[in-house]
Amino acid sequence: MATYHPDDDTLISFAAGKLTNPLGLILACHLQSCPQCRQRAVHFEAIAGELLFSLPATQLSSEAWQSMQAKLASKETTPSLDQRKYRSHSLVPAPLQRFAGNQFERVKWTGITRIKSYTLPIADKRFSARLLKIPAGVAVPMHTHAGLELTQVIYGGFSDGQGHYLAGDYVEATPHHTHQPVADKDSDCICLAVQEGPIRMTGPLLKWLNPFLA
Amino acid sequence: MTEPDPSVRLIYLLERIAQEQCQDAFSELFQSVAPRLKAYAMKLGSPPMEAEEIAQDSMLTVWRKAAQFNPRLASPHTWLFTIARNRRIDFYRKQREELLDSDDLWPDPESGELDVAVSSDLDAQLLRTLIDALPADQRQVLFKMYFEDKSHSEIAEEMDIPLGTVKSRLRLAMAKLENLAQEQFVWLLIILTTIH
Repeated sequence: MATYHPDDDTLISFAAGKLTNPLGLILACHLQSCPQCRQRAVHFEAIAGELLFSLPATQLSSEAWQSMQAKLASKETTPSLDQRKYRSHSLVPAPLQRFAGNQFERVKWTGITRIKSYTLPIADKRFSARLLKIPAGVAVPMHTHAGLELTQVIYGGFSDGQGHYLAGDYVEATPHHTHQPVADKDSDCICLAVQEGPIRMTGPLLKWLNPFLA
Repeated sequence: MTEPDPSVRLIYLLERIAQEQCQDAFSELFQSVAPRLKAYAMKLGSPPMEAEEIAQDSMLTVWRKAAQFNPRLASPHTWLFTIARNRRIDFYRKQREELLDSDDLWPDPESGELDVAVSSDLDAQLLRTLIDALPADQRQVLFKMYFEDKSHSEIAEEMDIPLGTVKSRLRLAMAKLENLAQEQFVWLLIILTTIH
């Protein structure tokens, strides 16, 4: 059961359908593993439903019903109606399975250090998303970021001086906060990390890497 | 519970569609729901013709998925909202060739894994009453938060009020709707215990 959760404003934006980017994906992953936030999101959807039906209706065009009937008659199906098959008891949360498979077998990990990463092909102008794999007991280099950094722990756990986070937890690091996450000693840690803007390394040896990380 | 609940009719129509593919029921549902869905898409910035197409896509999904509607899990308003929300996302995803679609964000839970009913129709009715009872300034912020593609600070700028005021209005509104949700739970218990 998760101990760290997204705040209500973020859950409202998600329920309202305003997060259709890496932020939406990380929220979807958190909700998969957190019945408590799922319940909150359902409450916020219920509010949306009632608000929607209190909006003044907009008149339809005169041919609206006719073209509706044409759509009904056509056999074409919308792609998103093809039910995808998710494994709900997989290690990988359902929203990530398309990118990572059921056991992370589809992930092409890269990285020159012991920490491996995989950038998901879904970045938008503000946010990027990647999977991180940190071997047991290994520390991520000290870094700070220009924007938000959100982390959903998928497997294992890590600490960063402010808390200890386990699978299911959603961790929000605010801008200009310098931290150094360390994976738990007993197992590797896999996380989904969403970043706003570029990260900056602050450790003495890694500073020169900054131009390459942007 | 004095006025007749409009969602009773919606539930009836959805059941007719699910059980017998009733065209008349669909026609009535279309006339009453599609104009709302169009209004919703327009609020979020779609031009009228696109908004109408999103409304039609949504109604097509309603026709096909009516059998999945379960009034014990969600009110018809909530169910229809989630369909319109997802169809709108997918409409624009197709245009921009984005990789994330609504099935990634809201994967269908496998049957038998559904959460306990949290928004029965009684809840929805109470929620509606609560929303109607909100002060106008709080309701306005709530509407903008849900139906305008804007951040808190953009909302503050547009309404010409401080950011803190936007946040506090939203918090106040949400707290009221929350209390209602809890009160309603007590209500439900009272009703259930008097029946049995």
